[in-house]
Amino acid sequence: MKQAKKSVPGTKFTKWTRAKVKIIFQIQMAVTLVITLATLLHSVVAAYSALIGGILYLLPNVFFAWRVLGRQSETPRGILADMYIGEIWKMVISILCFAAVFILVQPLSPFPLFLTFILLQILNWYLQMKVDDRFLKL
Amino acid sequence: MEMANAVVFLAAAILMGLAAIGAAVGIGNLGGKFLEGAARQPELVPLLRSNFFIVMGLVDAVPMIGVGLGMYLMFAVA
Repeated sequence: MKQAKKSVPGTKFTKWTRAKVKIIFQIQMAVTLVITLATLLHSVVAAYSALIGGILYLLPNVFFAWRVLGRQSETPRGILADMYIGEIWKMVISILCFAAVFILVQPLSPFPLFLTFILLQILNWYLQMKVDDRFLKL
Repeated sequence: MEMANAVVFLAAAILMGLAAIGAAVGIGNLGGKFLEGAARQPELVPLLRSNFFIVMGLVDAVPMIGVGLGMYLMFAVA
């Protein structure tokens, strides 16, 4: 019981992470829209391909964040289980979404799609470090 | 033509397989270190959880790109 009470102040880290992740997702959505609008000048196919690339990144990651940070497991075992199960679902959703897009969406321009997808991944690395550098001080 | 298709599928399999091995090693190490840290200092579990979440995102980025390219090879190129 005491241990559960002790860990209550620690939930501020979860709240802090949740707020940070929310900001990162918002920035990534904005970047996706900017790329979509920029590629719209080139062609409509490139524009919706870029948008699909952004959605393919955001959908599994938002689900993962909701699955992991939405829960309040207190034990390390529960937290680890949440993380691993969330990761498995993230992979499954990614694979299904990619397969669905490549089968159902025709015509598709792969370059803007992967450009947006990879850019958002790199942006995630960068923003995790930049939004708050506490992580670097550990 | 069949040979070319087979090579494309093989390339996709190698791409996704190697990425999966990398992710498995990385995330396995991460989980192990998390449990180790939690056992040493249980009061730091919420902090470790936040950092675990962040690093998990960093580790699985490259495998996700690999999965995307592999799917493209299988469904669009082959």
